Amino acid sequence: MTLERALLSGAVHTYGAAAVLYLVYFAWQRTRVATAGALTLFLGFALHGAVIALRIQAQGFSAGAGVAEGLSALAWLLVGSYLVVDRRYQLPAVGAFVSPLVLAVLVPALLLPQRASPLPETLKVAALPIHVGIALLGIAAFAIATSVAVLYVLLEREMKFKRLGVFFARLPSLEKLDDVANRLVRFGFVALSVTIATGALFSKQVGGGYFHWDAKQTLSLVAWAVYAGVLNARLVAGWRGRRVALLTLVGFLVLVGSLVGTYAVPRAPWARASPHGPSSFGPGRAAGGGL
Amino acid sequence: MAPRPRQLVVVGVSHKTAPVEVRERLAVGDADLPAWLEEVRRTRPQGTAESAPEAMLVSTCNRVEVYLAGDDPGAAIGQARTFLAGRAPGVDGQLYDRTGEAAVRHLFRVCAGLDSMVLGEPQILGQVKDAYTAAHKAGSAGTILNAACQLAFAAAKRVRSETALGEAEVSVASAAASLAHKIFGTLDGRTVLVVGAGEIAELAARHLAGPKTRILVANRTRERAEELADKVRGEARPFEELASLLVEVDVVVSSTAAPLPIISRAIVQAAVRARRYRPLFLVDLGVPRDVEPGAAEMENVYVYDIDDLGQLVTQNLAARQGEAERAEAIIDEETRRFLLDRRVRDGTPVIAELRQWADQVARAEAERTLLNIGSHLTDAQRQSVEAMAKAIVNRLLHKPTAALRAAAAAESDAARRLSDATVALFGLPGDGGSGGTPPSGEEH
Repeated sequence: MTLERALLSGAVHTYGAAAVLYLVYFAWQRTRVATAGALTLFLGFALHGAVIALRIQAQGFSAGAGVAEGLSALAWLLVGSYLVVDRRYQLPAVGAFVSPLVLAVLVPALLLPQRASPLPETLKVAALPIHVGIALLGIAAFAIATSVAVLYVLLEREMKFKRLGVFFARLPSLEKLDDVANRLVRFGFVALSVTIATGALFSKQVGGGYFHWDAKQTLSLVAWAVYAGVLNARLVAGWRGRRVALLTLVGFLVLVGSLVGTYAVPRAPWARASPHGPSSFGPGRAAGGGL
Repeated sequence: MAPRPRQLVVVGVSHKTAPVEVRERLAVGDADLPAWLEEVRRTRPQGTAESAPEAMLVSTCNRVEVYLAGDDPGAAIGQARTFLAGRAPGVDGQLYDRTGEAAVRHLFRVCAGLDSMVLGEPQILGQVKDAYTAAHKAGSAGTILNAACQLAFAAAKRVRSETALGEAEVSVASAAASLAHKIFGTLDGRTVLVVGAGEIAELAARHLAGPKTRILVANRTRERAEELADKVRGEARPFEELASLLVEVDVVVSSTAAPLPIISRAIVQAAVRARRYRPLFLVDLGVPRDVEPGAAEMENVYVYDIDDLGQLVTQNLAARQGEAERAEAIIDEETRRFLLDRRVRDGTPVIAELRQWADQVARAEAERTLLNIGSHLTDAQRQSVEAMAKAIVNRLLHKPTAALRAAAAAESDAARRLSDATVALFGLPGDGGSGGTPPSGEEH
């Protein structure tokens, strides 16, 4: 536990340093600083990965079931996804937005109790870690897609209003941002679909029905519908750019609502049998399984 | 009151004082330049009968300027203002005017590209040269405009060769290219359409095109389209297909002389849907503009006119300020040289009169002497008598002449006093008997 704690602290501080480097890069636009930021981020990713590995070794895959563990895993996947995206598309400016976001996700996790709660027997199935993992990976992809989409909107605004400034100087082309966001949304959409499907299966297994129409499930379905609409409009009518970026943002807000709903919204009495319900897990520890 | 030496004045609007909406109302096409120049010359300043004898009209997308030279700068400014206000009522508040030294400096700065939206850009020099050629053909370029333009062109050349201003790749064309890259990333595999066959459009197309960029050229004149297409290794397309070309291409560079927008909001709107919202970048280099302003409201359509590009360029200029200062120093130097030259020339009529008078005296005295001596002198002897008379006159006048020249070069007050004294001492006709500095001009 002390080793794990030390590693975690190291990871957080490394992430912090990476965020500072990325912000310095964003202010001064020195490519070397961005490279240093990416390397630092990778170091943090390795340390953080070790923490997660230790946790899994000690407790099995139930680790993702607590809020703290869920957020920690999400932060780790965010970093990993960003590193992959950056390696492939060179988007250091996005790093200046993702690295603080990682801290915003991870730091609350550290403030929450670190004890892992035992999973109820009904959920101890081999497929659960896959459900949770894919759900978190999907959220990570959507989070980065949304960061890119927001940057698209900001850059497009500068170009339309001809006030070229901060973003014109720092961001890649609009087409590239649109393309990267689109790819991430497609990836996230597949992950979200799998998550909803496996979630429904678990729900059936545990509580008898596929859907309970609680905030989490409903909002996940709404988000799924938004993303399905966006992808379809792009494919059929050629929608792209600003309106797609804004819809990507809307979808993500709904998704975040669903995530919050997983933890914060009190369950309706008829939903008590849900696998994430407070009655089955105890309050505030239903994390990760939701989506 | 002695007549004043002829002075240069300039009245006009530029991108610094007036938006493109105003400039496009004043702009004069190349073909119409002689006619409008004639109109400038015909315009009478209010209250006075005389219009300025020298006139030049410069019209580019960034400026419309009337250069006049005459004895009464105030009247000349009135004449130019009357002309410009006649073309675009209400423009008066946006006009600037400069007189004398300031006007000369302005012309020099304009030619060197120092007053351009794109600092140090070279096109303006060619445009002023064209304006000067037109004035020359029309017979409205006199001593002042001739001298000022020649020196302005030389000064511009100096700025180009002695500073880095001319070398830098910053220009409207490369500004358009950087915008295109910010929209599309690479332009490989994209299509650029050039509408019109202006020099700037060609330049912009060259800047925009990557190794794998397709270039299309559309022009009302088929031959010109093909000519330009040959130059930029593109394909000529019929101008009538513009609406369908808008669906096909990614970037349009337009610089036509059309008086009305050729790319209307409606055809852009239709194109956006047909092209499935793929981004469309319209670079409007035309004055008057070629793209209807409303077109910019369309989704994923970006419209930049010449003013927008210029503003973009000035954002990159901080680094070149040092070069600009060096260029300004050159302009200062050349302006001083011009003024010195004028002062010397304005002083020389007295010298010429003095010389003429002395020459007459020498010849008359030599003739009388030769008559008295009789006809038995040889030709050689006659010549030496004449030569002696000339030599005496030259020796006597050498110092006064040198003094007059020096005074003229140094300071106008002293020059005037000396030349008045010369007129009085030698009983020269002067000009109306007093000043001795008649306007220098082509009538001499």
